[in-house]
Amino acid sequence: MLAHLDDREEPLELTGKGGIELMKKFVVLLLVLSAGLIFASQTSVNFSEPVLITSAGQSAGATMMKVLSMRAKLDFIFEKLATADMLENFKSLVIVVGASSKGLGSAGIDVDQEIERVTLLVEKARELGIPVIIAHIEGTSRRGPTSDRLLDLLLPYADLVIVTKSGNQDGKFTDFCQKENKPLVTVNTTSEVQGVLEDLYSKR
Amino acid sequence: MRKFISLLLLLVAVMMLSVTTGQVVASKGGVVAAANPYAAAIGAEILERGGNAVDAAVAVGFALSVVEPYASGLGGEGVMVIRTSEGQSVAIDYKSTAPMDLSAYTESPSKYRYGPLAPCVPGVVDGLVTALEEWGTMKLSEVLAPVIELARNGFVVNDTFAKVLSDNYEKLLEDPGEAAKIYLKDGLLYESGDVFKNPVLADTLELIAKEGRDAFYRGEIADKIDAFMRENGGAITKEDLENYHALVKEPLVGTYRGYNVITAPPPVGGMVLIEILNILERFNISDLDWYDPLYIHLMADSIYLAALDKRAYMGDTPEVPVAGLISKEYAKERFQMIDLDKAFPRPKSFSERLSYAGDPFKYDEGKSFIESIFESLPATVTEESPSTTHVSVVDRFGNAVAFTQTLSSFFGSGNVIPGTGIILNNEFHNFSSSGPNAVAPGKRPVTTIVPTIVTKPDGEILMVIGTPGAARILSTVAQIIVNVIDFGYSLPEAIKLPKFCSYDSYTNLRLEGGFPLETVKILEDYFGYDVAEYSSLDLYFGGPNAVYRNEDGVLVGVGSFRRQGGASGVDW
Repeated sequence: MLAHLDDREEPLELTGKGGIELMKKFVVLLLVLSAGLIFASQTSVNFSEPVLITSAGQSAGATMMKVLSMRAKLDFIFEKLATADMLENFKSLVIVVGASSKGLGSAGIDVDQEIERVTLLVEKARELGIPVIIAHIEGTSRRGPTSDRLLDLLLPYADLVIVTKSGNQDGKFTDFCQKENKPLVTVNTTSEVQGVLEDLYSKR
Repeated sequence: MRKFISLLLLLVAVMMLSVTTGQVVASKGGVVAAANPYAAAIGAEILERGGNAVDAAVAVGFALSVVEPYASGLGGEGVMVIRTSEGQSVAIDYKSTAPMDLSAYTESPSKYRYGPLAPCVPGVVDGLVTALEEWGTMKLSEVLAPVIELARNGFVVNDTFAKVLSDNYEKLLEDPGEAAKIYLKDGLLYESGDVFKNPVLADTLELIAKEGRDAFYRGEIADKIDAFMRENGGAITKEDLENYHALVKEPLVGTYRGYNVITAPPPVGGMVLIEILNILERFNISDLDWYDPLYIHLMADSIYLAALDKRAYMGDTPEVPVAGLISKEYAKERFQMIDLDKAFPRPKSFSERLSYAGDPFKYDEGKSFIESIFESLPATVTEESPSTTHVSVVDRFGNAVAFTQTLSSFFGSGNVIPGTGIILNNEFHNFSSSGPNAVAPGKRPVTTIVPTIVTKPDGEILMVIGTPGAARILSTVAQIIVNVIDFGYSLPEAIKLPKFCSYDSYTNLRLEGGFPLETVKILEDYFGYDVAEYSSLDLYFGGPNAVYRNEDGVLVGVGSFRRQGGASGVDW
């Protein structure tokens, strides 16, 4: 796993195109990352296509992930209400967390139903050995109690975590990934997620 | 040399401008309260430069189209109530109107919530220009200058902006116009802390500053709206725009415990607010308090009964029995229907609920057309959004302005007219299929907005108030008035205290977080309400922006606690 690369106390915080936040001793590693040699060499998990992208909480983050995935030219299906039985056709799963009461209302579901759906989804992914990316890419405005409830549920299933810097101001993602030895990718802006996807799926 | 001196004098004058902006601001020099501190500050600067309350209000009305583009703007509508220092009161109805050709509409109005058939003909530009020309002192170009600068130079996005944008992301992506180009950041969302600039809207405002209302209704902007409508199957034509006119009306005036309530006439909520207060006035509630279940029950049922009357009788039609509905005598009838220890029935059946509407005609001079109205009442109730925005202004001369503007839903129809930055409203769905609010060419839809000025018995300003919040507008404004007049709370306290909402289309009683558990239990178990609880300081219950005048003449402005609003006052 990425976090086992050395014995530092902080989890490794990779960046997207911008390359920020790494300490000097990781400069060499950053260069490797920005050269596109990326995660395959840093993590034992291989992220392959086709990708199933879904939401946890029905906020706009998942739709932004769809836009970014299109730009990254991924082979993916975007299904806001993806169910466990859809997973068999995919080789990796991206869940974008962000709770929106409006989004849940539009989807005709409540939080409990959403929790049930995504729980079944990640359990099935684990059963099938499909790697899971948990992403939070909307910043502080989507870090309310319901979003955090979903994050607490889903982060343990993550093989990789992606978060925008502004969404991690309280260190929640850093603390979790450090404690659980999960690889964490921190991006300065949501648009940098495109580069992360391109690296993850060897698109550049 | 003369130019240099003029420039130097201007620079010195600008440097001497001094306004203070915050959530709560006190000043004797004039105060503006709005849903955004940037907009409030622009209003206060206009006051500081010698403008009156109308000048400031107009500047803020335009500024909100920049900093809160999702809630109001050039493509929207509004109603303004003005009270001059000489005691003249006037209302400007700049609500949008249905297009003249309705042949494209084949379903019930409620089906047209988004897209090019959702908008009505916008009224904001004509309304604000009318206010400025008739009651302002400054030129349009003067009040627009700081607004154009703000649009061009940008501002820091706050949490409310980011959240509303996020909630409407897909709507913006789907627009065949320029919603994504202008209101998204390279196709993605702006986040809190980002700087948002809108040079396209700045150009549009500049054109209006130069050419006046005709730029919008007859010139380049009208052409662009017309072209967008033609290309995308919309109904608004250039002729509709050319024929649009804001209406100057007499405001409605009621009283509550001796205070004068000056508010907006039909087809918006002022009539309902006066009816609520008239019913409530029959009860001695000053011994109760905001959390007392008996008070909540009396207020909830007063709102419910008045809202039923609104549903039955309100429309953009001369037949509305306004005099009867706002009469104290009619309120006695409604008062007698309230059971002191039991909630009024709130059946699920819409037609059954409407059977509880009263008969105000015997208190009105109008002819009786009640049977025909009842036969054709709408069968559905539309979904309501906490969008809209309200501004309150009082200047040092004693002029006061309350105005509420809206696009209906956040981001309105979701259509941004190419090359303008203008977001069109989605007011069309506020019409009904039948009844007094039935859609008709050129008609204005019924909404609940209620910009209001409350004066003391001697005519001195007490407070200027209003809020966004759809069906919660009436209940929130009524509660703030009661919190101040009956319970004696300061304006900031009155606004901040938890709110509740009762309405004709709600079968339950909706409580904002913060009421004592005992209150909730008594409302449920004793009075029989089906209570739904919301979070504390929830935007669902509106975002009031208000100004209160203390006995010593100090003006206290309060920006919305529920929507990161701001108040700004001239330093004194």
